Amino acid sequence: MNFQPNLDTLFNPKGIAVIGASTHPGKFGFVALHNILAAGFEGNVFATNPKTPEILGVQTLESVKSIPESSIDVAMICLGPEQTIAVLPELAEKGVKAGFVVSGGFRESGFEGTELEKELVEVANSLEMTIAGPNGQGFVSTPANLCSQIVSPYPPTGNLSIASQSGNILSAMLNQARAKNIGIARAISIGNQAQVDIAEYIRYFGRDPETKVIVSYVEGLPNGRDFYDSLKEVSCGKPVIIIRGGTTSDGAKAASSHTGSMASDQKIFETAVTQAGAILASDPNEAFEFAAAFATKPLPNGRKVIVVTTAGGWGVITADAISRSRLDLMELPQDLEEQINQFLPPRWSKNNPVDLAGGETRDTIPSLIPLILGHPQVDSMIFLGLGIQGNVARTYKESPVATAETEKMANFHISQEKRYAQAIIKSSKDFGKPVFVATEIGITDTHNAGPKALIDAGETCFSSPLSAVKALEAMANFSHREHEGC
Amino acid sequence: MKSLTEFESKRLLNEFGLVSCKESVAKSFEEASSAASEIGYPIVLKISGDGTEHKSELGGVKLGINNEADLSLAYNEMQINNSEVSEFLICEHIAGKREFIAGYHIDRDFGPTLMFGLGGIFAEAFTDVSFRLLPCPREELLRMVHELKSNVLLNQFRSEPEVDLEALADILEAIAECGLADPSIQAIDVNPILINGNRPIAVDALVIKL
Repeated sequence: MNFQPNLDTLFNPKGIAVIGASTHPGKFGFVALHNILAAGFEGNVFATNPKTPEILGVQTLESVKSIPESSIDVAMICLGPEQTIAVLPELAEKGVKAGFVVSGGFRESGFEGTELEKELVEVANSLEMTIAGPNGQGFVSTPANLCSQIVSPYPPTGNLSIASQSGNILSAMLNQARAKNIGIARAISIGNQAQVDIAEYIRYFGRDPETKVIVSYVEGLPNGRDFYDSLKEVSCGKPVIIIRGGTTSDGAKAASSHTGSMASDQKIFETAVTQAGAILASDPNEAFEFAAAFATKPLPNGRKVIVVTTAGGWGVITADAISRSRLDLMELPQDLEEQINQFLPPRWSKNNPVDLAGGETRDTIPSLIPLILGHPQVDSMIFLGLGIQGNVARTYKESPVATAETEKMANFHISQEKRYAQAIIKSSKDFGKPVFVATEIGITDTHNAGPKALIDAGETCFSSPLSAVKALEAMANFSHREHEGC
Repeated sequence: MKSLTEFESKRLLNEFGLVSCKESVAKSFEEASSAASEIGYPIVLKISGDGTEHKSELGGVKLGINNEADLSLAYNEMQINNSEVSEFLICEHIAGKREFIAGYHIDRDFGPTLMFGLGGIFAEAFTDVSFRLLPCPREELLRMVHELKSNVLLNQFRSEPEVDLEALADILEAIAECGLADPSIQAIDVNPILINGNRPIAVDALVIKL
């Protein structure tokens, strides 16, 4: 490439035009315009359609030539391949610096498409225009209130940015963002990476002040070494979480050497990601959970974790998972044990996991959380059992034989759940240490006061202790890397 | 693709600091015998020269030759079974219970890579290997060694001493530098690396060029 891609303009346009806007709500050219308007983009919005209908209150223009000078710098191009190439010079003349090409029919479709894609890149390069896609499903940029084309609900604002080679996997992550109330900064379906490849998106997110955490779904790499270099450059400052899809057939690899026969695509890919200091996730869900943890929690200083549980079985399972990880299920410090004794009857575990064994009263949990998290040896906490009292409340609230007493008890349980969530959020903030809450209730009962209070506050509620342990481990590994001086 | 012979491969790697077993090439029994006395029994006899990369499969390796009479028997047998072979390699016998493998390979996506793994007869069953993209700092070489699932073998193990990890990193560094120094090198296999006492020693090597 003979110029630096201008992704800053793509994600922060002053004006955007939908080229090839459609009157049909089932077509890309309609959805793109609709989503731009619906998300509340405040810059100029234009749309072209040769028949000049009014679409969604926007009077379309016959062609790009009719767009006022210097009113736009980004174009959302919803035309066929040949028309897309033809319109680029007109767009450049209007001051367009970056465009997103939705259309398929390029490299993914065979020889002719490959030739068209080469032409697209040549023309764009000669105009010094940045082209995302082709064959992509659009992008989101919440700092610009911009959503173009993407087929999932508009996400909450935040600092997580995603570049995905699959539009549907991107949509899946945006669905998660919406459901879990985790904020997004930028999200883009990168398509065929004809001109701007995955490494350039990662570098841009690395520089982008709105982005704190980066996730990328990768299938093919136009330039593996450059991808590795981009991860290495960015991973020092920001966590980059990578999911790999589609391993090519190893049979195709010339294995003249023993070493070569051992070097499976997957193995080398994993080596590259971890050697660069980035983080591998096994699937999009795990990637999102890692990202949510990085985006919402302070980094742990070390690997020492304390498990606090009101649910014995989950405590055991969590301890097992920690022992299989690189986290340290720390021994309970003597002084902390003595302090906890003040709050609980003698049957509590007196060990890590701190199992309350049903000995808690009204103020026990809100007192224990800061007490334990504040201990200088403790780096992080996993809390299990949030929502259990809310479960009881639900049963009473739904009861056909409810009484004034059950109603009163239900309300007490609900207010306790909220207090627990608040204690978790406040202590984590006060001590700058992460607390990971794991409970299936965050999914099974989204109205349960405990998990709901957590999610409403933008905190992550993990659906199982195993995923909490993995996310905490990823954060501890990243933190350790920073401590090494990176 | 063209392979250097085992002897040539090790000489090239030696230039980059690879520690390998003592050995010499012999074209006659007399040369073999005098090389064996110089190296000291027990020795290992191998067929050498072009087309002998898979010498084990050709019956071209004889271990544990303790004296000249054994050498004579082994030499004659090998000559009969491999009539087209014109030279032999006389190698110092390296005693070692722990075996590792290492190598260099150019990945089509990521370029030059270095491999380290568990060797020996179970290696193929377990595929316990780690990789690094090259170039990389020496700390990464030590880290890749520790990444093996069988890394307990590097510690004191069944009356064998702890492996000299710096010497092991020297071997890995030599392979990496050798590969990176010549773009025509496509792959390097060093197999096995035997742990003799605490010292890792490369016993066989193969350099494959374009």
